[in-house]
Amino acid sequence: MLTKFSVTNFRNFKDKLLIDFEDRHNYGFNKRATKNGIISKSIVFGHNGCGKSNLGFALFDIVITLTDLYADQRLYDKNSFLNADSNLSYAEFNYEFKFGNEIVKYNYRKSEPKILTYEELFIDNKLIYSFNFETKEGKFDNLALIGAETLNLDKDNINFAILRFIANNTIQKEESTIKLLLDFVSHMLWFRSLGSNSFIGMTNEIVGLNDWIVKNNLIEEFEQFLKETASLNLKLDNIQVGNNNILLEKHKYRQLMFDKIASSGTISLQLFFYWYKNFNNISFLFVDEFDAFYHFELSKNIIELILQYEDMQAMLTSHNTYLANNNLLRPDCYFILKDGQLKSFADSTDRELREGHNIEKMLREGEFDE
Amino acid sequence: MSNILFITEGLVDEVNFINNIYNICYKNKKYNIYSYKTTIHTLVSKLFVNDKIDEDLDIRLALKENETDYEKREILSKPYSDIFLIFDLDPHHDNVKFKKIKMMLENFNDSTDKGKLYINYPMLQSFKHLNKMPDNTFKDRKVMLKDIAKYKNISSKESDYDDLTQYNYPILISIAIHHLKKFNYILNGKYEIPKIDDFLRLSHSKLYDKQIKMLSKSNEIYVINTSILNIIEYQPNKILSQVKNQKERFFV
Repeated sequence: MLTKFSVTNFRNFKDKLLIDFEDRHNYGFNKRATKNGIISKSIVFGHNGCGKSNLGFALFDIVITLTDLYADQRLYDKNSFLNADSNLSYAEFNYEFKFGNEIVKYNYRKSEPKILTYEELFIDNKLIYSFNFETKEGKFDNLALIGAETLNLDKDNINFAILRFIANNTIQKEESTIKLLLDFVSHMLWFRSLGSNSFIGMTNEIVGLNDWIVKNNLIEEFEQFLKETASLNLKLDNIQVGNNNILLEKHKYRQLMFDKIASSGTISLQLFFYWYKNFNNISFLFVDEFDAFYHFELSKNIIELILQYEDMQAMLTSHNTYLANNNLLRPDCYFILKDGQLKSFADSTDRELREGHNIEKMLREGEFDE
Repeated sequence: MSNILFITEGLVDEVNFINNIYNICYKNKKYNIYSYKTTIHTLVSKLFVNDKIDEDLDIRLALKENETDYEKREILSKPYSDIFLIFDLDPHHDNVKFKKIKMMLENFNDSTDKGKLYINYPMLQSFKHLNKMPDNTFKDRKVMLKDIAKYKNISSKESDYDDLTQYNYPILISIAIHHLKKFNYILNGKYEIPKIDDFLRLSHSKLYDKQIKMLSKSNEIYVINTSILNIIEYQPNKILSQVKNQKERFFV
């Protein structure tokens, strides 16, 4: 699991932004929002333009650093990569993971989305290797600890992450740290439900949703999903036109094309359904503005649904204060992003927050403002 | 940051009381005081419909209905993380009215929700009705119904802590702890600092019940100030363990 993350000088985060998922408050309720002492489900609030989307891009930079999986093109934008109010020549990313009892720290710097300038890996506070891509200098004393002692690295010409090179060029056992780390990263998923199906990670495949539903015989399951989450009673069917499947809504006298008549909320929910079918395989989920088109009850149902996936870490952004509720999560699972800093409700007040507190009202009434 | 609204019965003493407490204990908290300048029964009549509290009322908006002063309307229009109501016991009323106050106490029991009502017995000045602390005689300190009209004088005369401006943090906390112990005594028969879970369960409506019963039975009530417990409200774990672990610092 991801236990800590920090980023500096990336997009609007000029100064270091830190996320600490460690469960430090020991709340006795809603344990389902944590796993092994780590906050596993969280919701980020914040004013428009405070950088909620950039927070997702920052977290998911590791996906384009270590994998070739599909990523939203904005992640590759050179112009906005470094903070525009700083003259520092690199952005720094620090990831801390916990696999079993092992603490893995992976840190790197980049001057552009695809150009690494520095990289280091620690396991249980022991430096495994570090490498400066500019001076070509590095320390590789502990490669044996990850079964990479025979690594044949062309230091002068390598232009991608050494960790990636190690993963691809050494034989790693099923439960090895390197394997667990790479597995985690390649099962991270970022998506947003606004506009087109934009995503980062998990796959390289871009599918048409209607076609995917029909081909996988999911029409009935999709109907059921709409009913359970959004109280929508739709009867669906399909016809094939050429190579494409078209989803239809059945009515008494005629059928309507789903794409043409479905509401923004339903379309957004269809996209959610597509990714939801992957939840068993996702290590870390980030959904940007996940409920922009949702009724407040639907938003809550989606959180309840996500909570059922114990092994999946999830972070969602929202403007919907209805979700700030101790029935759903806990004060240390709700975060506010402001001035480039992320703080949980629990850390934004000196009041001892309890289960009985109406945290939605407190959020609206400014309790967690500076 | 907390942004607090106090709705008080009086204008002068309540304001001094709150300013002093917050100046010493919570310098970083922002608050506004709205003085209602009438008794709790008038407030009750604003919030009740057909003998029941109108659950959908926001107390700020309900008070705004009759407020004409521009600045005071502004105060009632702001967002607040906490609302506290500080009122005196008004003993000269009938059972119907007592019942309504009890319902008020049951409903207004969370400052972060609708608001939290503190009733002081017999009035605000009871906070200082203490001899040199630790004052074990406070446990049984009562006031007769016939003396309530002159209680301001009585409490002043019998107080070793009459000058509010001389209070520091240990004195304030010690005063609050005296009232807390008495709360626990009246409800649970134990004149001691309650454990945190018991503290959270102390019911202001049960206290009111006990006091009203005593009043009708023997024409007297226990002297106890509940509004001073506001000091403990935000960080009960921290403050109660402070008192427990730093005995030499406090007078309890």
